[in-house]
Amino acid sequence: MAEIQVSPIKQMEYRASKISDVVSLAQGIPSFDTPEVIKDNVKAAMDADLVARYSLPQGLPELRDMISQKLAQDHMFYDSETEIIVTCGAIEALSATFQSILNHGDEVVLVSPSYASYPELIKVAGGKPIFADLVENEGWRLDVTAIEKKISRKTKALLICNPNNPTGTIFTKQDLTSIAELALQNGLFLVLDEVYKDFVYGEEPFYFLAQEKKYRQNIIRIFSLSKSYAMTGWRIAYLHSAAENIVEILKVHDSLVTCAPVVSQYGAYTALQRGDGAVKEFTQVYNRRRNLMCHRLDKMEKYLTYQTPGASYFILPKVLVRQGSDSWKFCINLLEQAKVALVPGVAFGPSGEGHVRISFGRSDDDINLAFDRMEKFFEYL
Amino acid sequence: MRRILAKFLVFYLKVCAKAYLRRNQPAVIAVTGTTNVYDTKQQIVSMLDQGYKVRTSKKNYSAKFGVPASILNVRLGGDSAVKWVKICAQSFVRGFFIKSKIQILILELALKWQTDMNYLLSIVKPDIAVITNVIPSTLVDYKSTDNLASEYLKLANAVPARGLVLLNAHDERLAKRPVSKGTVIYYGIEAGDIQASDVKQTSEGMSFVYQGQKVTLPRFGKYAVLAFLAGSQIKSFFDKYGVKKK
Repeated sequence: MAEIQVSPIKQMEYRASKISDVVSLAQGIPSFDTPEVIKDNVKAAMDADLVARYSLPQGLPELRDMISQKLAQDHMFYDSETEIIVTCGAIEALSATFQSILNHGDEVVLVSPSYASYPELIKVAGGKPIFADLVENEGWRLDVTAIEKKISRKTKALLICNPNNPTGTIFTKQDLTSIAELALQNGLFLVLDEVYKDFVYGEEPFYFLAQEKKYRQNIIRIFSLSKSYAMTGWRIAYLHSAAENIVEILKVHDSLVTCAPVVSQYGAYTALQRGDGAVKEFTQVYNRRRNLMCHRLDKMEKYLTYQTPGASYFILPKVLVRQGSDSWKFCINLLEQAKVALVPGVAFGPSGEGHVRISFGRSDDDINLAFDRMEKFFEYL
Repeated sequence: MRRILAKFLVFYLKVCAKAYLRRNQPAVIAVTGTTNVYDTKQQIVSMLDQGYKVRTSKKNYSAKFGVPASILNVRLGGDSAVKWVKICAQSFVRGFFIKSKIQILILELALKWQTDMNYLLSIVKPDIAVITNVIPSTLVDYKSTDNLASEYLKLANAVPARGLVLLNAHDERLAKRPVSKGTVIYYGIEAGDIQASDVKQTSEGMSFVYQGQKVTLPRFGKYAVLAFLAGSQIKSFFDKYGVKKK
């Protein structure tokens, strides 16, 4: 357990919480509150004494039915009875997945940079994270050859976050299919974390690899309601896969948490049933903030360079000044001197070093204030 | 104020929906159950819309607002007062003036509170009722799952003598034949009056044999098969008897 660390994102938020007048663009918390319609329905359920009991470990049947309907809208066909589990956030979904599929010493190939908690989740399950770098100067695209080279006898799974946190990249259908073929040919699980799939800013519709029936046995797909419906505190997500994989993951999920909080399952049900309008509204606002952030970054081109994110609410600029080569130290200095909290790029894997992750999930005012401060900070460097 | 307005709108939509049904007299198929209601309804729609003029619930419209809105073919207005004014006008015109060509209405009925089924049955009198299953649920305000089953069975009991009741043969709580005047048929996988046999899940979906024919569906799980059986039986029913006016 000595190898396991608290996520650098949370470490940075914790440090920031001790500083007065700090502006945090660190943790991926939406600036919005949970939509009223969700809260109202949950309140009604609480008033009717409906939320105090456990649900089935895999979740409320009606919620899984609703999830199955939503998946079908995106041409992903999964049986609500045997192929879906409602979990305590995406983290628990990932944890239960890795604990069910990994034996001690098994390897999981994941891209770098990618979400900071993945390596720890793999280690908790006794596995070993193996990084394959994304190609930064081509918009942080997937390098299928690099991933293939990392596959060894010990590899059990590939892990892809799409759209990717922290780069905001939407991986192409062609690259994703190549990765799925690698999984199929090598008998590997392909774990897909698609929690940012709703915040896509281009015209092109998001491609769901899980709609391809050919890869059903390999793919374990995870979606969280935290970001899309501004429900980070509710800790609610789901995963789906072929029934034989779900049987194994369910054993771990049951032993870890019994079931996802029923009150949050009510919230999730309403969100999926009636939350589409809110998602659309959030996406428009995030798109505007993305443009604002790119505009502010353009004005700092001497110090920061970036690839425009196509999705999510993160951007991962490269720090061009010498002090940025140690991103952890750089972020600490920025926090202490300019009172701006960002996440050091090294938190997201080796190729994240020299970068910082900035969230545009926060308000316009926060973004502007943080950039005003950063401009001054860089001038004095 | 908001509650009073909501009550008024529920009442107003009900009046307009009843007027629509009285004037146009479409055949009504009502699907209820704890899960798989939407998929079953969609399966029925896909089987009937080749030969008949059908309309079904928009999205998951299935409760006090949703059922009359589906009957009147209006989209609910959320929090927008302007939209609600428009909906009220549309509902009035559709309920009392416009003649519809729709032959069959396929509705989803969802229960959450104990009075819901009685209320919904005060709007619609189904010609065909489908009950997909009864599963223990904390999402509804019923004291026991048996009570919930009794509520679902009210739908079956509302079907007239010339009508049809389709019940999931695998559900113990539906096994006691309802006192419906309509023809009661149980559907299931190697169980019930109409059956699918040799059911297999392949990488492409479900495959099975129904009435001597091999069927493949691009869906997964036993409920996909059950939805197909319900849809097939309803299609056969209308093909045989036609869509009779009341």
